[in-house]
Amino acid sequence: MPFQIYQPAMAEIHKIMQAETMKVAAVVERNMKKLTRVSGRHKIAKADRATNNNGKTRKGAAKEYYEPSAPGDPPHKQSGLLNQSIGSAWDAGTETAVVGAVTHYAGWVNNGTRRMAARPFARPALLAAVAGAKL
Amino acid sequence: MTILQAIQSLLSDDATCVSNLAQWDFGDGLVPAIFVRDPAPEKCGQPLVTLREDGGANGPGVVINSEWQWSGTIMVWGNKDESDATPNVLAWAIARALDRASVTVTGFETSVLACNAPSGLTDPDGFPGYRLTVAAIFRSEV
Repeated sequence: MPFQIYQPAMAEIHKIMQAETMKVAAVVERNMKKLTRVSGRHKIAKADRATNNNGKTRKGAAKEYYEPSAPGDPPHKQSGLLNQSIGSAWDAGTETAVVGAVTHYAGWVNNGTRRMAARPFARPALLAAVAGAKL
Repeated sequence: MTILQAIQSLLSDDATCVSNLAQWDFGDGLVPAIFVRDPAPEKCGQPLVTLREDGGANGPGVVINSEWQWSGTIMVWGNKDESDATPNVLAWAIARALDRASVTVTGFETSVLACNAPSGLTDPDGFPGYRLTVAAIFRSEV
């Protein structure tokens, strides 16, 4: 039997659905941020830096290096731009929550390129959220 | 047989996929360039396909009680000096070949794959690419 839902009730249902969906989106966003937070920067001990003949540290010798994450693992943080660009929003047109990273290279990191292995962070974040696992 | 090998086998049996793929010698002669490693060898021509499991260091898929929710990603890379028409045809052929295809994994009931429609993506070197996500739910054999 068909039933009617009055407009005020419908608006309230939409509001609840949006709030619940955004809660899930917030978990996915938090997971994505956690996955991209591990720093790949490592300090080089003074003793290990390039030295001159007199044993003094050479001017301009690197003080730290960046170690990329293993292929298939989430990316290590280098500048932090990817991590900072992660966010979520509500798309009223399609009534969906959108979670993602807006830096131009986020897709290349997440999906890989022809010559570089992927460092996925979006799908693992979603899978962990679905499973209710803590990262 | 792992799921990735099962998918590789399904794609190798699809005439449209095979006719649009480059060839690569894995050691037993030339076969369609479908790799279960990422990235594919530099020397391999395009179009080629790479398959990978999602999950990274935590392992593939998510186990919830007796269910194993598996998901993977397929990348199709075309030739950067040509249009993306061939990889486009290839990507859609893969989606058609995999969506609702049956896969069997030891210890689990036979499952059906679900494959999303491909989405376009061009890499920084100009290689036209398409990305597809594949998912399946496996239930433990009783």
